[in-house]
Amino acid sequence: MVEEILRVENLCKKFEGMTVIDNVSISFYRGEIFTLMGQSGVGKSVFVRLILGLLSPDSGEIYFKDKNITNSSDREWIEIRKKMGMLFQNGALFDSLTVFENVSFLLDEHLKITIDEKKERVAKLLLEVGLKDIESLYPAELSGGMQKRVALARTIALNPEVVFYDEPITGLDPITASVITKLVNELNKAKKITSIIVSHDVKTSLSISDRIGLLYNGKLVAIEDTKDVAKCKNPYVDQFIKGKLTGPIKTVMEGKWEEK
Amino acid sequence: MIIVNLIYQFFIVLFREIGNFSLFILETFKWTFRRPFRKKLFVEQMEKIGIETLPVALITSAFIGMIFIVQLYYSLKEFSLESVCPGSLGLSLIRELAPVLAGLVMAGRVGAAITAEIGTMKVTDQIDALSILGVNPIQYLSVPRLVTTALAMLGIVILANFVGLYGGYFVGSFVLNLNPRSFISDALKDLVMKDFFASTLKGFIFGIIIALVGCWKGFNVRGGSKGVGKATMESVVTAMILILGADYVLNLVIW
Repeated sequence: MVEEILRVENLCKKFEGMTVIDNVSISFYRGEIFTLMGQSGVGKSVFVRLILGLLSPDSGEIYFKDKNITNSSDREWIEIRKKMGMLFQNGALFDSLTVFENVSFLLDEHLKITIDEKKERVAKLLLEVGLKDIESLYPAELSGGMQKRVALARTIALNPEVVFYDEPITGLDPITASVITKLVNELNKAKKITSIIVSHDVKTSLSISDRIGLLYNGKLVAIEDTKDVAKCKNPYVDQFIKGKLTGPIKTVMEGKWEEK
Repeated sequence: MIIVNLIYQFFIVLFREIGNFSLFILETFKWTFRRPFRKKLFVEQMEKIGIETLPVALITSAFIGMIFIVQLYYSLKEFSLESVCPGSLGLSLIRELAPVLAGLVMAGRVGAAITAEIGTMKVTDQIDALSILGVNPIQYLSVPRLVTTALAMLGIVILANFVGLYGGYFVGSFVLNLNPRSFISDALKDLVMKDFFASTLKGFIFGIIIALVGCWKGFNVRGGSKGVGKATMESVVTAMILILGADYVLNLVIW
């Protein structure tokens, strides 16, 4: 039986009167890869930030392993976040720290290990994401793809149970994007990590995800198994996957070129 | 009607800012006394805030002592009161000039640096990354800066008093021909222990103001690099105004 690891019930969030997340409910299961899709600005990143406690919901509940974590204290969040990781769109590496210090950050903060053990673990983590001998470099000295991989190594340092990926391949060239996608897939299989990806890249999402969700106007308008997407009758999914201009998802097409 | 509305909006924003800042202060003090205490961060900040700022603060203080004694000398000479120059310098410098000017210099140098650093971290998601990595950003970023700025200011004011006095002594004795043997003792004769205590207390409180304003502005940056620049400017201006306001209140309370 598939074990539920994370559950969101009736989550709502408004910013200055504008509803960004509107009564969203969903469950995530251990070891699955779930991709949350939607147009830019529909609230995908806000949804992830709500689950991780970076934003407070206006209403609704969040359960992690059946424990309500919605109103956890600062101290409790510290413990919860040891079991959850997040790969930010830009990597969000600490630019004043070296690669070694970035990757060992979690180890320094939450474990008591010797410097030799730390060196060994950092080297192993970097190797897992396909990097070697870059410990002394600073993030600014790395390419975008390498930064993402270092950030991934930092994210998985404490073996989290759930990892959120915010637009993991946006802004990367196709080959580097494939490398990151492969890494996400391998980590999921090897470490049984539940991966929740926020993306609008349809091709990649369908190729690696077990399920996809589609967010539109703050509502979760579809949750589908990837294998069923091709024959899915949901008009939102159909329009989004095929990139159609007409359908239930409104597109801004009011501008017109001025004729010469 | 438009003016009334604008005034109303201004006060709404003002009270909201005061409320948010007060909550931030409470949060920072709450985390100041919680474990873990990250020694490495305190040492790093002490080097950046204390040691690197010291020369600027001391040069400023030395020049203030030198300039002030010249001004006093030529003003009081007209009344043949040159002999009271050292005493006036001592009183003004230790009670007022050294802590306030050190505070203003620190606000420009340290306050701006704190806001720019934290603000850049904010716009590049590094602060959210800290939270995700199970570290409270206020404890990790604000607390070391608060403690080290307050302690650094305390030390800097003590040294600035000393250097400013000797700046005045140097010019007074060797340029203005005041009696070098009695200059320092004359400068100190009207001062009591309370003056030295108040001087360092002012420095300590100004340090707290600079760090809190700097961190708060940094944490609330919005709008990318332009936002960082704006917040940095606001941080310096706010800290300077609060330093002068706090100085006034402290003067009323202490003397």
